[in-house]
Amino acid sequence: MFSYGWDSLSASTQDALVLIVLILLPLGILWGVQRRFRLMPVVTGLLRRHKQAATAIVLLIGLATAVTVVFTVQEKALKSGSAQAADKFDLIVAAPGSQVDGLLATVYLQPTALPLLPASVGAELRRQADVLFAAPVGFGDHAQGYPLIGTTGDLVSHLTNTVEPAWFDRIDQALAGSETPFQIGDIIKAQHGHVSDDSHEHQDELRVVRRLPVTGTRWDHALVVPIEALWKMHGLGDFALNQQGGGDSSATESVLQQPGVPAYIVVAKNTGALYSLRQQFNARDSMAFFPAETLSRLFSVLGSVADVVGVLTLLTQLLVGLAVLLSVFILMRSLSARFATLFALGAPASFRFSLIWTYAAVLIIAGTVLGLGLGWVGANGLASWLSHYTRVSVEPQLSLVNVSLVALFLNAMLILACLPAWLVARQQHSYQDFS
Amino acid sequence: MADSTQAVDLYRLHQLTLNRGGGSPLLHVDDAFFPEGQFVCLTGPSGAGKSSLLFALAGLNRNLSGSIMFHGSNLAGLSSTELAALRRTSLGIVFQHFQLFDELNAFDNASMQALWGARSNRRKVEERVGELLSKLQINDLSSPCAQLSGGERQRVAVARALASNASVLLADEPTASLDRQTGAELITLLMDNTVGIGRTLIACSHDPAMVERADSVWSLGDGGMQRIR
Repeated sequence: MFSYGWDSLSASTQDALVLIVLILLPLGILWGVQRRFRLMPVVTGLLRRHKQAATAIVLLIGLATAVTVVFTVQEKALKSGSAQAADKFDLIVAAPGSQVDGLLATVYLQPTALPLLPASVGAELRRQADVLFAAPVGFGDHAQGYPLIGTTGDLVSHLTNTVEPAWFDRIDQALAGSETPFQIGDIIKAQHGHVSDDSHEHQDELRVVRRLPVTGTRWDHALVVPIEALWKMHGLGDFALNQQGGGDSSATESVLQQPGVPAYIVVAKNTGALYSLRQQFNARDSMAFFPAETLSRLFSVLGSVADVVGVLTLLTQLLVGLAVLLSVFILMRSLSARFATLFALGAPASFRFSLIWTYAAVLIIAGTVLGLGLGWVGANGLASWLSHYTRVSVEPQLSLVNVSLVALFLNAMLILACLPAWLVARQQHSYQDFS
Repeated sequence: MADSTQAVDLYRLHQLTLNRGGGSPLLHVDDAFFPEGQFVCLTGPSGAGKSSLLFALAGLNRNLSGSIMFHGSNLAGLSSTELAALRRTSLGIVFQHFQLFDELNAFDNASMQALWGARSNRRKVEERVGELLSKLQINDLSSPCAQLSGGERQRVAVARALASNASVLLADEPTASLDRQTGAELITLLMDNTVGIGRTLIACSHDPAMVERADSVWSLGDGGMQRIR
């Protein structure tokens, strides 16, 4: 019956309930112990007496917890940020080769040399009734370190969720990504090759006519130009501006005259059509793939590594926990005269046990709360660095599961804290311990 | 002084041998009794076994053979839990070196019994401690005990022992660190709060002033013990 009730709850409700239990359980025990015994005067006295040791233990637990929080939060944020960045790229059609290379070059604009797709593939794509548009994507140049991407207005509208009748009026116009420093009216000269290459400057000038809204993708750090501008710069021909990626047969005919491009981004009328297109264009001359699927495969490979690192992080935390409990035990042994006095005064073993457990619990809870805070600050700092480094928007979120993991560790430590408490509390003292 | 022949035996020691750490005998007592409601003083030279015997009476020295009967129960046969309960409910102890928690203030030290006592009893213990500390002229209740003088620390230790309202107070050299005047005042205070209200005070001491005021005096030496008064 309980199982049925539990299963009928949503996953987030289950997570919240687990977290509540994991937090309330130790707090409830701590509250019960404080009601039974008046421990806090002695606990605070001992904390004052061993200020440095207590601070070191709290910091140790805090750092171990923070590492776990940073790792778990960051891994999820990076995956989610990368997936979000690829979200708008429904289907990529590129020349046969590595899907990962195609993904990295097209979605994340990583400097990768992709073979060119023959123009016939583009023409074939445009002939498909279910294709809303098939936008050619060309890259390989940059301006002041920012990648220059050649494509069509359809893709810009799709990425920015903004409908414009025409993004470009002329072939020498450029759109500045939201994270670039370029302003409307700036004149830029493109340079051939990637930033790291020994590049040379093209003669053609481009004028920035718009700043694009934020897309949350790597394209926010790029300059978008008409694909025809790239062809012209590279001396592949002087083509008229045609910014429609789907369409009529005359456009299809003109596509056949165009040079090849590294990839096409295809947006179809529905998901079923996308699957058909993927099957159809996985052929001798082309390779079609879903970026999300490739990313997922990539994550599954990286995921195994992440699992190993995750286990290592937990093991490290466990070792830190054991080191902390050993420190508490040694600290308590150094206070054996105090415990001998309590023993002589008739303090019950349960009092002595509760005293040590509460002392350890205060350190563990303080360290865990500190670690949660440090972890959150660390995760945000790292996310900001990763966003800057990968140009993909990485936004860490502290989920219920993350907090539950920390709370689980806290509970495990509190259970382990019973061990030094029991070892010290069970000690029998004689008058020689205080005479 | 009370007449020991009319008093009920509180402690009766029979064929009791206290051993040293190595196992050799330290003190042997054929038969002795300490009556209820009296001030019993154990005296003798250092190393005679005064403290060993005092703590055996508290169940804190179990390196012994023979019997220590307390209210008819043999302490040697009690478990450590039962002995702890006995110390909690019936015995107050003043240690020679005070055994205070230096990081706690005088009030928290003296009201230590309230830390583990029943919630319903805590208020009573704390009120009693307040009265005792006032009577013992401990006015600084907030500073850690480490900052108090030796005499003040001694009086806090006495307050702690008296706070539990135990029927027996065991005191190990309670006047050792006090001047003559303060020592005499302390003896009066101890007697007022024990034999003065029908309770028992058992102390080991070198202090002639203490020996002088005791109802019965036992002298320890040469591995034995005999009553001298």
